[in-house]
Amino acid sequence: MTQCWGEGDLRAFLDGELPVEQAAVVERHLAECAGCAAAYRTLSDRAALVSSLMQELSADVPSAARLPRRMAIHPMWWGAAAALAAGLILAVLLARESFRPPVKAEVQAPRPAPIAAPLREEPPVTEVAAQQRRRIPRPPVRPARATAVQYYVGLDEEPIETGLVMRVALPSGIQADVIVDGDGRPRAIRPIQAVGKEDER
Amino acid sequence: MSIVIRSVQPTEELALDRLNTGKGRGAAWFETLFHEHYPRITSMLARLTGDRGQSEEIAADVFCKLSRHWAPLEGKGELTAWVYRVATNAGLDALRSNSRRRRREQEAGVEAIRTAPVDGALDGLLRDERCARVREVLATLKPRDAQMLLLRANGMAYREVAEAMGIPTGSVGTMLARAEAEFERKFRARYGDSV
Repeated sequence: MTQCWGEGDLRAFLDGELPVEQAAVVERHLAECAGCAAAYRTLSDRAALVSSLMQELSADVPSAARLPRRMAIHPMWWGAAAALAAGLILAVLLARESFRPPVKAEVQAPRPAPIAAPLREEPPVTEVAAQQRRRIPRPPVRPARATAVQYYVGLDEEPIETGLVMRVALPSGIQADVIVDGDGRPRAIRPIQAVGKEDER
Repeated sequence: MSIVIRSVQPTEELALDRLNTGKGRGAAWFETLFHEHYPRITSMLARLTGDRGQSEEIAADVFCKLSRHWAPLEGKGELTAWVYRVATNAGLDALRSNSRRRRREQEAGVEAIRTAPVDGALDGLLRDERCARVREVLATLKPRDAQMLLLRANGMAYREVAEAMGIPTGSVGTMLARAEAEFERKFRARYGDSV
């Protein structure tokens, strides 16, 4: 009689996960070993029971929302779809032209999209009041010069794991990059002017 | 105030740079891992929690954690096993304290009874009851056992299960047999033979 097999091998045999040669040996052994055959039946019954119960869960869950993948479209289908779309657009344009009376074409420069009106109407502001409204001077933001290494001055002793770099303009006109951590605390600062001088050196 | 000089970058770039600077791993690895395993993990968690929206939240959270804390993990296999292990544990936690799911199931059950024909409503109730039982037993299993059963129920082959659990392929059969035995024992202890 051939060697007996452990329940792991028998379970793998049940799922067809053993290599072909090994599966043939296990199959021969099960035909001649009552003990292993009984163990195999027990495993098989239990696997069927557990599988049927676990499959209940799939019926309970709504259809899967799959991750959007890059679609591999056959070039022929892609070309056919593009030709169909182009044909439809052309047909619509021709149909519109045939019903439209001839007009003198006026070329106009594209206008910017109108700004959406505020939801709540504000009370009318007089001209004097508008002049009196304080204007906050906003210095223009200078683009950052790309440097290999950027040096910051830490504002505390703690190491910075992650942070968001925000460019701020101080009232004095000095601009700086500030690292703000996840809690919103400023953790390090880099004056823009200082970097400019440093780069010029 | 002491002066500390550091080189820093915005958060997203920083995370990707850290992935790129590791030993043989990079952002491409992360993307591959995400595309390959996110749908499977979501599907597995949806079975476990019964709430697809919540499962997507958990899966996204796990990958977010991975992007921040990859440092102790060495190889791609370990990364994969880490993702599945953390996702399973989070799913089991959600299952154990899932008041939202219970509320949704109750509402769905009431709605099903109200709208469905009598036979359909009864079938639906029985199916919901069986699902609730299975989930209760899964919640009492060791996380590794529950993970094994969920991965197999997800249709994954032994090789894929081994990769997801970080174990040799030859051990899957043994662990699966033990997980099934434990599941059956606990199920029968709770609900008798009314399977």
